[in-house]
Amino acid sequence: MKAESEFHSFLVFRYPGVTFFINRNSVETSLFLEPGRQSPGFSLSKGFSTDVFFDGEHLISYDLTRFLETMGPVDKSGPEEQGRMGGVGLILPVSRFSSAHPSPLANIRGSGFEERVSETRVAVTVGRHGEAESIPFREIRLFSPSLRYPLRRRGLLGCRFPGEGECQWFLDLGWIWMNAFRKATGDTKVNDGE
Amino acid sequence: MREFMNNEAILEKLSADSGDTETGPAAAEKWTKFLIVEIGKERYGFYADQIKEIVTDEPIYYVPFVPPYIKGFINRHGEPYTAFDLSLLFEKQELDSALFLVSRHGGDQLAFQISDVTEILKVPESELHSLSSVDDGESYFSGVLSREGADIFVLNIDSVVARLERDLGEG
Repeated sequence: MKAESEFHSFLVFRYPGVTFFINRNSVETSLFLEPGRQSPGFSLSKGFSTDVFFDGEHLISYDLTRFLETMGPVDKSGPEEQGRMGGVGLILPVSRFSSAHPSPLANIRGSGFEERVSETRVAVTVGRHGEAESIPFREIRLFSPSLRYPLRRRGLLGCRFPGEGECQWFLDLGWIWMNAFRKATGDTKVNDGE
Repeated sequence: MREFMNNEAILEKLSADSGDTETGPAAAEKWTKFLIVEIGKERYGFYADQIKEIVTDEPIYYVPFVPPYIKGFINRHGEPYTAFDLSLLFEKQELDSALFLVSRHGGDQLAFQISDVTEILKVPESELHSLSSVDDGESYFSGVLSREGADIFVLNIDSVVARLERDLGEG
């Protein structure tokens, strides 16, 4: 009988060329997004938009494809399919990835956002090829010490080798969102508590 | 007729056959074992006790956000080992080889891409000569061995890891 404490629930996303998994607890809920959706009157550069609407608010959402492209050889058919089929918006409560006070989004009003955007939640959009999976902790490996912290700063926490010739990446979505947002808006506008 | 051997002689022979460095109080000098390898056209030495195994034909998994001389990870028993291309680091020439030395050093899991293993050397420590000058303030080598008129540089793994940490810090 497997001990529950030895496993954890993750969301695993398979793109052509890269597979990654995230802690299910970092996500509040998820929404299916319509294909060809448009941002309602506002979009930021570098993968950001406000086209995810949840609980009466627009959320600042980041297209994870942008990040995956920086990771290297991602098959372009993945993002294309995401555009054609529609993706999934993962809703992340800011409090689960940032303990900064005030909220990292508290200062963004007046920095180009003309509509009501949430200060407590953000979104990350991904493809539809995701599934929940219970993964044993013993399968998840931290990187070698010399790579561990540099890669963590980029949002990569570890990896696993679930089968022959396959490496899956353990990603920190909150950190990736924050990092990308800092770059998109300029460091001074975002307080991430560092 | 068999040669007569007392226990001391037998122990001495066993010790010599097994490659032990300890030969008792009479041992005059410490001996060190080196793995001599080819990386491209150059020969380098590794301290043999820093090498866990030699592997071939392991898939290399691309790792993002690292310098070009990191080829990626190789998977050894579920653990990611950081694969260095020392030819790219030292000679600016990418090495095409599926052979790796696997090392666990100072908590780091490392692999070094090589062309071939040429020999295992056991030499007195005094034969490892220190490098007389270091041009740029850093040395990737612990010393140099002279063999048949040629110099073989012995890798200082700590300094290679330090270079990686420096490059990642600047990234």
